[in-house]
Amino acid sequence: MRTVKVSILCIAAMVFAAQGALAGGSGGGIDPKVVQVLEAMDAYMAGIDNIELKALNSADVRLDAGLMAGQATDVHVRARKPGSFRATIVGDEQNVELYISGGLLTVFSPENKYYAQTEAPESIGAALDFALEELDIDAPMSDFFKKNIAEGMLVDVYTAHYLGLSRIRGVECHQLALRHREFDVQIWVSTGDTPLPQKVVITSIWEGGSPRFTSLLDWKVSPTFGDETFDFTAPPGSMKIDFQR
Amino acid sequence: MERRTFFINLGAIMGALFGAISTAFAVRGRPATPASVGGVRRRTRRRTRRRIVRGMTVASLPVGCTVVARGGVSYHYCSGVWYQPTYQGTTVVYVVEDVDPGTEAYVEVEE
Repeated sequence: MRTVKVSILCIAAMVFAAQGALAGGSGGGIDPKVVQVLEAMDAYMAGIDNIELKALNSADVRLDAGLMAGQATDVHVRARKPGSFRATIVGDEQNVELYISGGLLTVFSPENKYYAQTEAPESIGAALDFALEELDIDAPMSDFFKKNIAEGMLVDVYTAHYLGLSRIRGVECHQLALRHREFDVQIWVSTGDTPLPQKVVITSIWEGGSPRFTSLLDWKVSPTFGDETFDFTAPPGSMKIDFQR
Repeated sequence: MERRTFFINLGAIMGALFGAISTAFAVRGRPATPASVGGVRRRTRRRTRRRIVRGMTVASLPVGCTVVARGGVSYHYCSGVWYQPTYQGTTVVYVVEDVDPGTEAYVEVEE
């Protein structure tokens, strides 16, 4: 209960700070309905122990002569609290697996069978922070697997709008728009008592052609996982290498 | 440490930037490009030919390499150049650990 209170206070502080900034003339504000939707999603996700995510991502890449091309990546994440996490990333430029289990973090490249291992904090959130800060590894969708998601999403947001109801693949969603200085974010969160993010679009405002990143998210709540899902076993012929630090 | 915002973080991840090479050289066909906000990358096509020296990092190996163990470490040995694979983020890059005397090898890089 204490965590929730602190979290709400933080958001209240951010809303206040943002409104202060608006008084300076940037226009807009943070719609309390946005905070409410994000908080509900946060609270619901915090109560889930086992979760699986399949995300279809596409990022615009500007090629020569300004040609905008979509670069696709499929991400499959499985997480079991408190400390088991596995992400499989297969894309045009990536083919890699990340394992976090029992205080051990492993990165494995199936194509050339390299892997690297290091000790990491026990909890998923702490291990993902460690991966980012120490190893320069941005685990896919990692923020959805940490605490205080709503708070994290509102950092540096100067206006937030509730755009109304929309449908993503037949699922009714709240559509939210969050504005940052350099990019706009839209997020669709399903309505009802199982609020989960269904789609995210990030538009880079100042880049030529305003390239976008789009992700469609497909969640499975409370699946059953065996330990073999999270424990890495080096396949025959694989080569252990180091992380560059 | 400055806190990274959710979306810069998320964007960086999602835009297939998962472990983008920031300081490494890229070999032809495997361009290494810097990250930008929102998971969007810009590709540049300025190519230069550089002599391979110790400490250099390349994104891929030339053809015709063999794996050789030296001092308990496995290297890729390619025509007089010793490469050690290592993870930069989740991207495997190859650091030039040694160059045999008299070897003149070049790599084409994009920067």
